[in-house]
Amino acid sequence: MALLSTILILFSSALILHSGFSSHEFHQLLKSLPQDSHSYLGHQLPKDIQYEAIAGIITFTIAVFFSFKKLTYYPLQGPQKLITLNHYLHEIRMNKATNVDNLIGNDPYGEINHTPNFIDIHAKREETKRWLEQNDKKEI
Amino acid sequence: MDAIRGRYISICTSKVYTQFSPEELMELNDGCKRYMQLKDPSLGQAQYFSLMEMLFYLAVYLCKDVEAQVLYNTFRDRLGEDSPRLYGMKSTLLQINESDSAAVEFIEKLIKERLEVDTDSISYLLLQKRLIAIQSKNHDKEWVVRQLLNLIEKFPIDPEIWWFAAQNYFELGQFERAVYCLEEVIQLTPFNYVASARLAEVLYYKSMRVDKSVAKTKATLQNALNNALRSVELSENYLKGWSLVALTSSKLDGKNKILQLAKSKLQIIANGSNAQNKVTAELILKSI
Repeated sequence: MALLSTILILFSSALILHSGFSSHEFHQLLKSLPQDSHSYLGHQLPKDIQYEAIAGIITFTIAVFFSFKKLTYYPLQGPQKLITLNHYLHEIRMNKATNVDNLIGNDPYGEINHTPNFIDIHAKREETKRWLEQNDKKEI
Repeated sequence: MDAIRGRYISICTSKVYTQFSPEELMELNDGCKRYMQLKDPSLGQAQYFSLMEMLFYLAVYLCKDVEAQVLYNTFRDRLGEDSPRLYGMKSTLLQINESDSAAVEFIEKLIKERLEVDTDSISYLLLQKRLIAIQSKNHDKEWVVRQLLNLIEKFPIDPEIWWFAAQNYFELGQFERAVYCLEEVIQLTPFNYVASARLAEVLYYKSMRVDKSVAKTKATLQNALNNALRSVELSENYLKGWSLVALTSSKLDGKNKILQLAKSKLQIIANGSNAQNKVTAELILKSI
């Protein structure tokens, strides 16, 4: 999808730029005509330039939609298996949006609920030291 | 790359790494360092510094003291020393390199000489919390609660202090006071569905252990059910919320419909959530 959308974006950009350049050329040409001439008064941008610009815009819009990827997440804890949701955009309603947090094990209010500023650093370090000692014993 | 970045940012902002086991801390430390070496262009500068701060605390937890000092020096050289986060990091370094009393002395001196009269309430609050955390080791829970209440007098709208007070009251068995503190947390963060579920949990314990009369037990259980329902209203597939809905509704009369709904939701979680939630949901379904 990423390759297709890139190709489409490049193609549509070329179409839009080309139609813009053609329009500029057409108006430059028109300026060279006498202002009271019949062809100046009845002038209109040629249909092919109009169609080219419209086709460019439509293709660009489609390409942008193609560039969306399915939402992917890694769980915060446990085995690191990529979770791919069948969605391209995030949910707006809160009760649905928080489903992703539940899926990956995230607490959006963790900065409060985990009380990070009251952590006993020595206890954490002791736990690590014990774990490292146990690991060393296993290796021996 | 988006998923990897999202994982590290979520871990960093939710501070869930403070609850990790040593093995998980080690994996996170190595993974985050590897990710930062990739120099992801989508990583903003604020996010980069947040990840660096997380790496500092990971180094502290993993007893990599030299690495922690190097990270602190990098921060100090780039941002200067006068910042709440840097004060917190320095006090942590003093704790591990010198002693708790050196860290207490540093914080008390800073508060006395500057922060007590400054308008920098963020640094003041953060360092007061650190001070309580450092000193709590040498005191009992009643002392900790007293310190927390003194801090609440000064900062009544900080939810973290209320949450920690609730935790301490819960451990002391003072459920009524723990409930009050959690209600304050919910008032300050109304969409905090985790706090609603925790409140329901504390109310459930209160009904089981404290309430003597049947009428009072029922009223407390109903209150617990209401809070559990509020948590699942805010988060559709919240496992703890639905577990408490199932548990409390099974103890109350005439709540069969709610119980069936909770069971069906738990079944959905058991079928489609992550591995840990699946196992927990299945266990709860078996026990109800």
